Amino acid sequence: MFLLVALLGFGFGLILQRSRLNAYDVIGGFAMLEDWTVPKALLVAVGLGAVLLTIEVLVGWASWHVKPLLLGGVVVGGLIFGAGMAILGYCPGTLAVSLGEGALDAVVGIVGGVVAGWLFTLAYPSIKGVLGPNLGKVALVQLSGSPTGALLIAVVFGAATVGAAFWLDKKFD
Amino acid sequence: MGGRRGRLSWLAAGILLAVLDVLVFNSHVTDRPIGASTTYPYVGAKLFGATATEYFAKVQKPGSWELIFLFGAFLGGLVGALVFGDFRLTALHKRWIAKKGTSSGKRLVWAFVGGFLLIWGARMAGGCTSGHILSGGMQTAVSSLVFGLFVVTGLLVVGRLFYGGERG
Repeated sequence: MFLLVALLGFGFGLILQRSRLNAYDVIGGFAMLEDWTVPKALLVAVGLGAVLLTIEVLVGWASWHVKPLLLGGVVVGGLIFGAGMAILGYCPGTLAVSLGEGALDAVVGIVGGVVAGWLFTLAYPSIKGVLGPNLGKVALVQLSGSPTGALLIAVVFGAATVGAAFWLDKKFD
Repeated sequence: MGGRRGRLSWLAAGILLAVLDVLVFNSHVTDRPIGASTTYPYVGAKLFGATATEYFAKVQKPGSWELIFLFGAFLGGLVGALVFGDFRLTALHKRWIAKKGTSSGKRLVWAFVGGFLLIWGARMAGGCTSGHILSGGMQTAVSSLVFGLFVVTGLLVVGRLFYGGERG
């Protein structure tokens, strides 16, 4: 189990490192509107992933793991997360990859993140009221209620996000 | 600095990330999505002794998984950087220097602030770029799509305030 998860993580780190998606200049560069690698790669991953994952679930090889729509948490947390991502120039996952590249600011970013995680653990009972309301685990592909409908929604969604990536590429690079 | 040799384009990276996450999702592989940010409260609670809490009980299982995953990601970054000549011990990067100058101390202070906000926000939302935007986005999860929208808003607004507008 340890070896399998570490191996999958290794692949993740190598993909990010080789595409520079972990780099401060690439993530911070997006916050400066100077580098569009992050949104382009994520739009492709999400679009292609939606089609592949829907097929995988429909044939019974995987299940959905949709997170609940905790409106307050997602909106306020999203804004705070975006602010931190702009200043830090890394994400929770890419911090580890940049640590491997020797980035000392990633070391300090990890320390800041661990302190935040610790304080959040202590504060959770008093702030969980702000995270709601819980609007449930909603996914676009499940809205139609039929396998054909799910696949159709995934294909349309995938075409839109992959199309958006190519549009960004044409417009800004 | 490394050259172009062995570089992946945004398109190749997007395709590979989709395939990797679909593999991770598979019931016979790990039966869960890629995620990263639960590592931080897990490690923080373990280090500073906050394991007898309601929140630690929630994050213990995903946190230990994600810590192993990020350990692998660290090794992937290390090996890639060493093999292709990207390894550099530094706190400063080209675009930071262009906007904020060459003080490493200043960069490190802001890195702490940024890291703190990043994980605080991720834990409020229940996920990050990996767990919400990538893994949630490919499930067409409404929570993750809303999260992504507000992340980009926060990123671009604070990016503009913090680094200034376009030059020239």
